Amino acid sequence: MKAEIVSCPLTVVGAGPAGIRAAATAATAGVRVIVVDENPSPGGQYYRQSPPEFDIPDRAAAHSGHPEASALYDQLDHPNIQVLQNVRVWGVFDGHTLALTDEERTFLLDTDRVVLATGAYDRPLAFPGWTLPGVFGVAAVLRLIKSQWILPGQRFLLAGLGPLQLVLADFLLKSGAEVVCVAEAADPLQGWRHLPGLWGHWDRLREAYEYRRTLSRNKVPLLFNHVITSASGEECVAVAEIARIDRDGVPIPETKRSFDVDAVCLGYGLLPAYQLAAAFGCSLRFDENLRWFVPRHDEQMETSVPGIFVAGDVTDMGGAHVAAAEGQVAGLVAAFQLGYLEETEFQGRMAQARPVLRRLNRLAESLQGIYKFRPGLAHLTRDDTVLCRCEEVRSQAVKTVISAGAVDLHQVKLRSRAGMGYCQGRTCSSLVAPLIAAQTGQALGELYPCTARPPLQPIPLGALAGSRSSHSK
Amino acid sequence: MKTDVVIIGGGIVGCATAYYLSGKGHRVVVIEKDAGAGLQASGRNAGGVRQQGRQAALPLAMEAIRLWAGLAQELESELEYQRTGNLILALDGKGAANLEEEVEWEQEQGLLDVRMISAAECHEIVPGLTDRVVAGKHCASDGAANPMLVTPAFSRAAQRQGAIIRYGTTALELLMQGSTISGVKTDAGEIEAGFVVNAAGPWAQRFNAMAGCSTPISPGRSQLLITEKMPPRLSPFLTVMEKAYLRQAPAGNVIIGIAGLPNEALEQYVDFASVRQHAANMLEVFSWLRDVNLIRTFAGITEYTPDGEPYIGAVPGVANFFVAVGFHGQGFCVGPMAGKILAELIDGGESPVSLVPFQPDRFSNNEAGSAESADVKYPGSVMEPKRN
Repeated sequence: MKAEIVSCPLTVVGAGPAGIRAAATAATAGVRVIVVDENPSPGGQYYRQSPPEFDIPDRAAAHSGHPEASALYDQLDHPNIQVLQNVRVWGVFDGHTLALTDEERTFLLDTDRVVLATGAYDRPLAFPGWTLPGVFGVAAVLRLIKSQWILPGQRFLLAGLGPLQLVLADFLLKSGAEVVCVAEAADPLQGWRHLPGLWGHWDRLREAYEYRRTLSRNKVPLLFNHVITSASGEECVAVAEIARIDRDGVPIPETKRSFDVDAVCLGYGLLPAYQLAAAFGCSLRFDENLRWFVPRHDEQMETSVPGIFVAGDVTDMGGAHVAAAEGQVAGLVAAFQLGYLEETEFQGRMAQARPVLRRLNRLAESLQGIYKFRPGLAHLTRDDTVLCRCEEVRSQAVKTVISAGAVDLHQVKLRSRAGMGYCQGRTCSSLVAPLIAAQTGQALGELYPCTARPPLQPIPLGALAGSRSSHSK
Repeated sequence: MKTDVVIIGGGIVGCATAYYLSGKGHRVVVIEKDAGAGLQASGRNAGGVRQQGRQAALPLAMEAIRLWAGLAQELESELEYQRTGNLILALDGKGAANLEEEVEWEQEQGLLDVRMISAAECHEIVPGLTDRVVAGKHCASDGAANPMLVTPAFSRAAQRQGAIIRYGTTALELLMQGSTISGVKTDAGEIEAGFVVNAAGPWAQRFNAMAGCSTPISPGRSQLLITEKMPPRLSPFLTVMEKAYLRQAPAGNVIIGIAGLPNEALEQYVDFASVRQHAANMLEVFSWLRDVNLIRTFAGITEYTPDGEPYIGAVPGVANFFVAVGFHGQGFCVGPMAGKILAELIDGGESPVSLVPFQPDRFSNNEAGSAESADVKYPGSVMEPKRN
């Protein structure tokens, strides 16, 4: 029984701003493109749409509240572009064949060039109580509000690192929720050093100023250099505790204070969804600000594997504008490599695109510097704090296998089961690795994540074997 | 540096040998190229601890099962070893006839708790089977353990007894003085020793060749599919004849394995066609698996010998050089016993089972590749999935 094989010169994975722009750029040059996206409709996280079943008269509201969103989706409406929604890539075989599934069956996509625009996901922060019901991630809450129109609480404490918190606070306040405090782990004084990078980005600064005004109008305290240290409650979070942190991100015990809440929203930045890039064999680099791994790429957005590109938050956490600019560059280079652009035209268009990207990247780097993840933030756990949620492995169990000789993520996984469950370490690797580094004296940057093997996300055996329905007996 | 015994390879055989030798007071150094113990085939298998279906190695496997009984206590570690029983399912009359022959022979060898069971009994033991199954063969004293825990447990116990394990160190060549072994040269210097043990699995041949002993080993690849956790459903370790094997681990995940895929380059990739085929084969027999999520796959390197039996014992012609390699898919089960036997031999004792079928030089005098297996013809041999 052979699997169905489709082929295409260029495949774009992810239909957020980076993926859409990459696909549209290449398609305009004449390249036939397949866009694979696991959501029901395009937009990615930034331009997330309400589900198609929702009947929302105001198209701009349905389109995530960004007025430019529908122009973005329209770019996919091109004869050279085929969009596969609700389809996941679950594996890479022989270096250039993608295994896809729509949950019913599996099929193969044979492709010459790939742009990975797989985005990023909420960075987990482990502290006592982080797994209690009522503790959410920023992206999850934004998604609930934006796509499902659900407000998952009434009294929120926001704790995190980065401007997304201000966006969410603004959103929550406008939706009628109460925000008791915003604990921001960044240090505004350190931030001044990065100001030159912000020079000229007046629209972004004005946006930030607007968000802060909403906070002060609603008398919401915005506390810098503060981190959440615990969440507690019987069945759901009822109390959240925060504390001031020192230079290294270590909480200062005597500064602890608590708030009565019914929801906690964590936004400690994002981690790049590099798993598919890793499955292609693309090398990762350790980012000092992020204190985690990202796919390595050159100026043309090409990874260490020729013909495999990255664009957007999967590699440079810079938001929608950077993502689109990177998508454009990746699309141009892929089209050129495939022979669809003349050398002179390609160089001309790159000459236009590069300075835009550089300028945006300078801003992104400044923001990454301001919102860098301080090492202490990775050590807020107690021995009984869960690190691996899929397998319910606690900090103590991980420390025990490290004491018994496990020296890397792979060995810790084999012996403690941390990283062996549904998410295959997507969530817990960044929580476990700092413990290994601290206990063994290795640098965190040496603790390379485990090999990415198929399936990248769970797939029903029936869908893998053929078609799920044909096996029903 | 100087020691009594150098062991090449920190897999299950090397670590078990180190454990039993250090227990007898010998100074031992294990050389392991990887960063930890048992990261190759020893840790990358389905964890079967079985006697039935073995051929010349049946007595060795039976002795191994007795050893396994006390292993967790001895090593002071959880190994998840359980005598779950082992059930081989035949999908046609020919397969069932083969199994009957196996039962007869195995009982003659003293494996008394092996028996044929009807299709109806198979359904009783394994609820939810499809009607493809025609008969089964069951061995109650067989079982399974967690491969990810066993070799690290041996390595820790050996280290507690003073053994030194050098991870990230690669053995380069044997050191000889005349026809006596004198140590091993590694990428981190030479180690002088009175005895050398080659337990390097699929990487072992070249060391044996340096000692003038040809031990043909062809590398294969095994592939394992791991599902999400399920409520307990499969109690014995199951083999579907000529297709694949599976078991449900104590944690609840179903492990589906297949061995014998070609692998000349000693790689550990997972390939689409066989994973898909493999899943489809299992759905024919366990249709309820279709809605169960696959969460992980991985591959391991296995080793095959021309007659399906390992090489265990002293290498003739070279004093004080021992091997235990070429386990043909049975290393996890018999590895601990092989280690115990080598430790006995080096300590001047004797093996509790005959090592005649496992003589390391049994192919040395033949023309390359034309190795004839021993005169004995064993029944079965259809149990392992066919090699491609």
